Amino acid sequence: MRRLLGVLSVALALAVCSASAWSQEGILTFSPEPAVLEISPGGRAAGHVAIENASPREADHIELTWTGSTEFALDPTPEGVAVLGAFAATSVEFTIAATRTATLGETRGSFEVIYTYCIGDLCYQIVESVPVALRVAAAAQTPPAVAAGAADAAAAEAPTHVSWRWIAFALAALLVVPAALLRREGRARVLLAAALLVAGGAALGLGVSLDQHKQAQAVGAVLCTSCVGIETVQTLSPRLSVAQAAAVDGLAKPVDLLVFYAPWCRSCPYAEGLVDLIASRNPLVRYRLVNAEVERGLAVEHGVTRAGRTVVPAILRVDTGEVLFGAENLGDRLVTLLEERT
Amino acid sequence: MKLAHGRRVVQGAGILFGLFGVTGIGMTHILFPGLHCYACPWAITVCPVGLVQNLVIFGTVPFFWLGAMIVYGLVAARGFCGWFCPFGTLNDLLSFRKVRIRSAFSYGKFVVLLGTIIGAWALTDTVFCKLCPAASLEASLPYLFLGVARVNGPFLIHMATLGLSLVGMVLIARFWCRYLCPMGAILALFNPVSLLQLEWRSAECTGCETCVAACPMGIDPRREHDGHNCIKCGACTESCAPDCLALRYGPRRKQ
Repeated sequence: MRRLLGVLSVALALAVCSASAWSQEGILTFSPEPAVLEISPGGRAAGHVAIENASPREADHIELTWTGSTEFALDPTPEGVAVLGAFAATSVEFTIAATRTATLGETRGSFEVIYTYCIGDLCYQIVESVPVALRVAAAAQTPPAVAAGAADAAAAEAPTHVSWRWIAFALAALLVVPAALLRREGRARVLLAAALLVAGGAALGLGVSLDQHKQAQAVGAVLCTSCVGIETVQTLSPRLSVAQAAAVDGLAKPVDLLVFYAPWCRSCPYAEGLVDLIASRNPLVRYRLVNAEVERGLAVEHGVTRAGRTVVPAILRVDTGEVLFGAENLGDRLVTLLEERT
Repeated sequence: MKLAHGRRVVQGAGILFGLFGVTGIGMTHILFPGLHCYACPWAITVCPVGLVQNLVIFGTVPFFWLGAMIVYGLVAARGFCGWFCPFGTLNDLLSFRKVRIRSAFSYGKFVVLLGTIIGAWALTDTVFCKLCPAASLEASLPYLFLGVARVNGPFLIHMATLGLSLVGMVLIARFWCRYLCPMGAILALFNPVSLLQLEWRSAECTGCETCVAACPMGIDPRREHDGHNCIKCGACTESCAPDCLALRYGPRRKQ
């Protein structure tokens, strides 16, 4: 009975894990129009991606890139959307150019959409793939009726794109339950172990094909000070005290700063905001934001690492090479850093 | 005595693997088969418990994570606790009082695992990491000396959880592994099917119970050799005079 309770609690944990991920899907929905893009080799076709925000918070910096076959390219690069408000909708116009050698027939490609979504001070950079159907045909040979039929087929296929992953995950995870409950020796164990081996191998392979190993490495490679409890998360709006503001106003020499952040670091917006506040008060203070995950080389070069680990948030004074880590008591530490002579 | 020495060597290898970042190779894509903080300055591997919290927060379908856990489960399951995990080794080194396990409390590790995942979901934060004694030892303390951490509230909470765990380990052998480790809870699910297995041949047993006294987890190895509390360390096999307990590696025997 106790054994059953233990296993049930883990199964429940896995279910919660799944449910949480479900709940975070579908913040933005993307619908390419037309559903099948008619294009001729060497030609161009225009369309738009309708974007709907079904959430109570705004999404920022929405950008579209082409990740499908190299026989096609976005030309020109579509304009992104700076801010999409809560429950709002918009659309992004695009033009796809096909190479002269593009293979005739129906094919599928995809856009990669990157956007930022914030809950309070916690911001996520979300990457989604939006499938799009293309039909390459010599001009004037495409009967419109066939195109409409293909459009319906593509629309019916689109929603299954997400759900198969969860079904596959649930099937693999469900194998764990009988494995944990088995008490008797025998053939069942051998078969179950073999099934688990197949499921585990498949899950690993699928994970690698989805670049999840890189995600794991990224989580491990950058240390956010509030993530493992080096300090508490700073969620207040950045402010300067009277003394700090006076010290900033009194700076007479130009100072360049690099602000290292990670998209998922909760204290980073505070550090970024504080530096921005100082820079807007005194134009002699200039700064640039550096995504530590993307520009890891820069972090290593400037010593924004401790024992090989990139730490965020971190503020580097370029001329002295001095670095401040974390967000705790940052106002005073930053003013001291700025006041130091070279 | 040979098995005990071999185990110390493998445990040493676990620590070396955990701290291999001292060579400067940086973070890899490998998940660590034990409780070892990825924030440790010398870590080259990702902590599965830390990662799964992040995946819950990001909303990722955790295929890679699940695959790695199944593979580790099949390779040795809780054998990693007994033979490889550096935090398990710390527990081992402080194992002075091999008292019997309180079976009901031993389900606490599943509760901790559940709480870790629900906490990450409900608070969109890595709650367990902020309480984890392995993080206290491998992240809070090193970063204090590296000038990143300061003595503040979160630091003191880490020191308190580490202190309590250490007191627990001294008073009860393998205290953390028995009752609280969420990584042990994940690996425990695979104990009945793993290739590393503790076998008991009942015909030769004289009922002397020296194996019960030798077990650092405080279980009865004769009855619970495939249970979620066996860490397959092999201490019982060495104490058993008629040799009716043995560690075996390979596919399960068909009976």
